[in-house]
Amino acid sequence: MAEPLVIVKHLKKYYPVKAGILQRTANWVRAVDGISFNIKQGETLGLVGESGCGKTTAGKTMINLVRPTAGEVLFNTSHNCECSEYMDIAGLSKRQRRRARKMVQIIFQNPYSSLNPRMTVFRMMREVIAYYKLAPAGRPAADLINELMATVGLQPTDAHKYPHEFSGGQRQRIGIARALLINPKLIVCDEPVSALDVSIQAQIINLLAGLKRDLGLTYLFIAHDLAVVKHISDRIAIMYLGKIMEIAPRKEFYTNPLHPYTEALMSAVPSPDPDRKKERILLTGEVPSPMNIPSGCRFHTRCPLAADICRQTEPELTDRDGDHKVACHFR
Amino acid sequence: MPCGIFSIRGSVKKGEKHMENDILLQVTDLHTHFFTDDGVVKAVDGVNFFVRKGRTLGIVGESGCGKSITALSILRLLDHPGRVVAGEIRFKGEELLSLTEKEMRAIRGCTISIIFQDPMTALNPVLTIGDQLSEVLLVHQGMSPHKAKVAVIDMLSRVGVTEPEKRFDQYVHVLSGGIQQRAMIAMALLCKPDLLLADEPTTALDVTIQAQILELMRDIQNDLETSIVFITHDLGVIAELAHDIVVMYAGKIVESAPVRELFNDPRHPYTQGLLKCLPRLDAEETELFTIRGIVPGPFDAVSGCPYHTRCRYAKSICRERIPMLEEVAPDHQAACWIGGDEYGTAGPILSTPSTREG
Repeated sequence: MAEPLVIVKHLKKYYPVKAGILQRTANWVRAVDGISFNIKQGETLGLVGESGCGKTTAGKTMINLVRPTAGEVLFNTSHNCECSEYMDIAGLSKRQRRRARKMVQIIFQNPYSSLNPRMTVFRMMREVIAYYKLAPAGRPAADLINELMATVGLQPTDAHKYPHEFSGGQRQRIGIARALLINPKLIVCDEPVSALDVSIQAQIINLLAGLKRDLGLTYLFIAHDLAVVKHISDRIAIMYLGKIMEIAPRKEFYTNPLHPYTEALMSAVPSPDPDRKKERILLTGEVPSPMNIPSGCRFHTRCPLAADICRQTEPELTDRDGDHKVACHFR
Repeated sequence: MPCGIFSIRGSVKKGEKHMENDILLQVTDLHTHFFTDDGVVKAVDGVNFFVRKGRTLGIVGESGCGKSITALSILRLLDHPGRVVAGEIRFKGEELLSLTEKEMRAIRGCTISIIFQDPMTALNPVLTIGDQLSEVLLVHQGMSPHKAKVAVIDMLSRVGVTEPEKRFDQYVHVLSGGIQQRAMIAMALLCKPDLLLADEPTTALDVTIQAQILELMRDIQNDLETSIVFITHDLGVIAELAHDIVVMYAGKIVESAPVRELFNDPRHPYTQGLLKCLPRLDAEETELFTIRGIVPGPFDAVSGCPYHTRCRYAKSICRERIPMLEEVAPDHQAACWIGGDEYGTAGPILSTPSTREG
């Protein structure tokens, strides 16, 4: 059986909060608080949660943009994942980073701020090609760039334009082309469609799904919208305050959600059907601060099922049926 | 209305009159243009709609369709180079466009108020929440600061702000997005407005917080009988809240109908496209429907129907002549040359029996 492409083990990222004249560390923001998961080759894992739950930080540690406080991101460096030669990406030094980024790339949320406004698309891409020595001898970089522009549905002539000349959807296509340039094994998509209009959102989702099918890509798809995630993911993980609360294959996840937080998230998604009267589970209050994570189960302050045990002991993420894991005392 | 004295004709007339009294805001043939150095941008290009008392009108469309500019035109908040060049905006029988700036200022924030999309940038960062909310009452109602504070704290707690006394003295940046938006809603409601304009009030929020805010808006409407104009690009949100919907594209209304009618029997290809491209929790297919292309830019001159460049059904007439908004069913208008017959007969595209359950 094929080994997973990525194994994330007990990943933690704490940010210090300094205070006072001496700038002593007064507290810690526990952005990611011990998460573990695997991603198989060719699979899309959807990582879902509200703002501030640590999903973006988790994504950034995958590509070594953020050094974790503890834990490992093990990447399978063997071909086709047949055997297990793993490299810890998160622990690489600045110098060794280049190796990691050849395997993992990222698409950012905001296509307006993630492209350099002073560079044409061509220059932006040629820089990457030169840095990673991607153009084989005798093959000009332009060929490679033109080919990629076509792959993401842009004209080759568009390569000589500046980012401001494109619409939001086109910019996101450029972001995708840039990520594809070095032929990565894994692409971290950090809310790639949440800044886009619905009609453009559908175009980008279909493009990402098509690329995955054609190029055999693997995605970590970070989003806050469960409906979007459903269309692209094979498995879904729900994060809350730095921990994974539930993780399951798509079908199982959407037909049989177990964690009360997952249920609440699903019922909060507005449905474009005025006749549909939903029993809405309305979560009260907001996500607590990651500086002050509640004791016991971190969801107990908003949970409709909360009991004494939830305030005292933190539930472990444990197996239910098959691949379905949940961290809840009652489910 | 059965009444022996009136002829049938007379009673119909009386019914119509009742309908007219019901209308709080009537926008007629509104044109808002921007006179830029590069040319004139027709952001709102001949828009007609009305808002009934105690009801919600949804305005739907993608970015750049003129939704927000319509709202700003109603409140006359447009800045240079934008200007309302033609049209009428009648609010409670009064023509807003002919009021003086001083008279207009008495209406803004009092009988008509607005909630903006991004509370972080719409609220003043150097004033406390209490200061900027009290100001509304000091200015419009001449309340004493002490009384205003009591009223503000009361309103904050009504819109679900936790610990309102503490929030009163806090600044915007210390509050979370959800609380900021609630504070802005409280600010808009302080004078118990007749009309509330909500410009994408939930777009910047998480789904869980969005659900809370929508619930709050529904409660407000029930309690205060406020009319709401709800602007959004999210058809899911609008389905939950609106009674009537207008769909805008490139500065024009392309379809207008009561909510159920619009979702069950959308006639304009743009409305159909918007509905079909929405990712849904209750759908199984993985390939999403897409509307090809993008909204035409402000300086792109599109001849004929503005949507023809993206429309799957476009014919030669669509490229040549602009379709007018025409009645396709009772209370239901669409601006399309194909008129909905060719694809409309396929029946409603969304409401299959399986999606109605649950």
